[in-house]
Amino acid sequence: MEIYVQLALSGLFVGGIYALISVGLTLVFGVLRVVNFAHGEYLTLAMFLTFFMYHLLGLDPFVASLVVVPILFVLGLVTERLLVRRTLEAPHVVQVFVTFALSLFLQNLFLVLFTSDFRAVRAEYATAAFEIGPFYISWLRMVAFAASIALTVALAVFLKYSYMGAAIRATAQDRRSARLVGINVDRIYALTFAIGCALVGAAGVLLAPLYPVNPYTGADLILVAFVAVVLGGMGSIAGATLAGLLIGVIESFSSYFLGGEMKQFVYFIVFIAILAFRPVGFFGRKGAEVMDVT
Amino acid sequence: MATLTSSGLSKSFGGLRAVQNVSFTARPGRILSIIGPNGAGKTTVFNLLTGFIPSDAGTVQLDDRSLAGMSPEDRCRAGLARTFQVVQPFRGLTVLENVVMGAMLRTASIAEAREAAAAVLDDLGMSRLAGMRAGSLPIGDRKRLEMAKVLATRPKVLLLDEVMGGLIPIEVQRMIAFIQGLRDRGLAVVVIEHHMNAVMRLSDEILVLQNGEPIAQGSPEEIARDPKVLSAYLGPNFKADGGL
Amino acid sequence: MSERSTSNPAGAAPARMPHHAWSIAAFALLVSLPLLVSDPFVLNMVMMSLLSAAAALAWNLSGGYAGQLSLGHAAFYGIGAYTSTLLFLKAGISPLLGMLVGAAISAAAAIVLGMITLRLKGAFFVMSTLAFGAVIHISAINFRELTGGSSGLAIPLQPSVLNLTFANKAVYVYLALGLMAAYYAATLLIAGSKLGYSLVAFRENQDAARALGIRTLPIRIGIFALSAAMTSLCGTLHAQYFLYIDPDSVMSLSLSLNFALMAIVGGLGTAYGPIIGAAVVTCVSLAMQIYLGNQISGLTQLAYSAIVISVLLAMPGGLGPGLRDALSRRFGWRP
Repeated sequence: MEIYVQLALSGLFVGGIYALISVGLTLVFGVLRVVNFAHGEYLTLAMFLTFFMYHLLGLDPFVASLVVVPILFVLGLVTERLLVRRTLEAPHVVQVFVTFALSLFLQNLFLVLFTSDFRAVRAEYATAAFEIGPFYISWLRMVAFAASIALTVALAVFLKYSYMGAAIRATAQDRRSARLVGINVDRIYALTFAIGCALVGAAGVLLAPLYPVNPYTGADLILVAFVAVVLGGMGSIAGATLAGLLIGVIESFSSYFLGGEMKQFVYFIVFIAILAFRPVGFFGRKGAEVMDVT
Repeated sequence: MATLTSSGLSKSFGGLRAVQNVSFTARPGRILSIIGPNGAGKTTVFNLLTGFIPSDAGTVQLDDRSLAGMSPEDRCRAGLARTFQVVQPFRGLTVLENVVMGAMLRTASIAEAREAAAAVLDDLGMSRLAGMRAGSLPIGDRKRLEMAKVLATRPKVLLLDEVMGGLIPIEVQRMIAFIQGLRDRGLAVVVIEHHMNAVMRLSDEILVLQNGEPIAQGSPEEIARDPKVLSAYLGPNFKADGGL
Repeated sequence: MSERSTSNPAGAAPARMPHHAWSIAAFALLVSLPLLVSDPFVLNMVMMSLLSAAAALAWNLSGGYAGQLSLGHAAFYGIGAYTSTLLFLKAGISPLLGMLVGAAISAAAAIVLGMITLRLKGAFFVMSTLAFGAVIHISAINFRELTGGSSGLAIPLQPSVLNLTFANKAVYVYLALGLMAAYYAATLLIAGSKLGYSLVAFRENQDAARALGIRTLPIRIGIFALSAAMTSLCGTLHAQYFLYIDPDSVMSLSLSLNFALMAIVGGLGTAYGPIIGAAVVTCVSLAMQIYLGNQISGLTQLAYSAIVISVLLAMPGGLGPGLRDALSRRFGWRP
């Protein structure tokens, strides 16, 4: 019994970070209707930045976040302006493959700059842990989990109660009507994309002390985020959060019982099953995913 | 040629009753118009007839054949074809290729389909546009292209959803004459139209919908005198004194 | 006779060279290439270029004409490579037969996958094929008893036609060339048929296609299966050429992406597009190798992805149609 609880707990902690990665992805999809296949590379970048700030400047990851997250936000603005905006009215194939090629570009840029070596932030508190009864809990993982959830909640509050948040939601609902009521839709797109990047940047900072980073780290992790985003319902923040947590738990159980290599296998099967049987996910709006072709 | 019969057609979206109990018969060589204020459910009726939206209740028959459960593509194969109010061209293709897509239905070879498509374009006076990209056409020509594509499938019953919207008066005149020509060739034609003048000139019979319900049905003269129709269009305080 | 050319509205254009003449000229050049080139490095590059052009042509049938942007085609490539290799190694069955079995398995897998995922829109379809590719890739790594896992499988060098194994590497170049030519011809045939038109109608406007009586789902599944089977044959040829396969080299996502990008860069939904795309990729990597050598890994891919982004933004139709339009605008010349 105890082992199940332990597995669930560690799955939940990782799931919190998955949720944070997924939330940015789903937000961008919900508002811009674009799947950013390069989302994972922004995660990689944030992890590299955190690593170098720690390694070269001795900045603690939590301090580094004050620099890394704004950098990612600005990069998000730039990316939206230079690339994504030009694809919004373009044929579907352009939309998909521009972000895919961007992912390839960034991966190889990291490869050229940093080589494929793994780099790890070795904070002295990385292994600190405490015990509750029979359960062994890592401080770092718990803090990362708490921070992820706090950020997700903060985003939800921002979307719900601020003027900008309302404008973002209105744009997600119907971009034409949003424009008619005087919302600057282009600015909302830029802001949303930047927030998505900032969120994944925060996830990168939180992951840096937990996982070593190389140019492909983000690409591996982002697959999980895709599963979570679809499972939760594309565009749904609550759904992505829930699904992120769930996938963390599924992964934790399947790697314990089936072995580490099979964990990806399990969630891809889950993924195809969702697409086959319930493509709207938990909370998705119907209509975005399935053609009414019989 | 064939007769289209709809009876008791109904559809609700959530709590909204979009179409309720709509019944009519469209006969070969006759033009039936469906009119009504915006939101009366006219286009929804077309979507139900052609199977783009499944109906909650009611039947659709082409002659004696029930179309229940058939997909839009199979209904078109059976001879029931429609145009879209918001025109749906294959934007990246040429006008001729657009029409070939329709003409393919009745022939196995693309060469024959191209000939048939060229003939249809000629019929509609669009031959000189054949090589243009559909996406680059002005709205009037797009409306005619919408007709051309559908005619190329050689339908028995033709559903036309506002094919005159956005046309200039001279084009409206030509379109009226063209639709009359289709009727004279024996097609059953059902028209949704806002252009009241055209409706009165074209129709053999008119069905009036309001809030999804049929409120009147009859010849253009009868409809023009019907007080229910006048109040539906002009508000309940309008005193009926003849003429629309 | 010279007055004739002035009757041409664009003025400058001489008598047009017929389309087929260009194809035949290009083909003849390629046929003579292995005879002219003896450098193994260049020969290898030509081989890979032809093989990936064939795979990109296969991808383009489904991805280009039907707009079904699969990122799981490496799975079919891998199924082809593994099926023929395993049948040969474990049962002594000739790869000539094995490649057909692989193609049949790939087609069957595509039909099942297609029935599940082809009703998904845009990015959802892309992601589902991505997941399919990943499942097959992970399976190949993990079912070690059958596949040899990450360490892969080696095919013994026993040259014979029946073994589809040749000591002279130039033979493979001709096989790849033949495959590519066959796929090109198949593409032209399909593009000019009712099937091709129906697929394009669906891609351009689904509702309009249905309103014109075009039954789309069966033909979309059909073309997906055909495309899978064709990709699978390329996989077998890959295995026979290298005499070694492992999951990363024949099933990775980057391979799927490569097929797709070649078709897209060259000209999606055109018969010559994938060939142009493959040629561009080959030239880029050749140039990078020559100027930079091998010392910095990633630079080739870096340049390539930058080219892809520029092409997509500047010429969304791909280089082939884009250059063609530019040429005809400027010189009234239509190759």
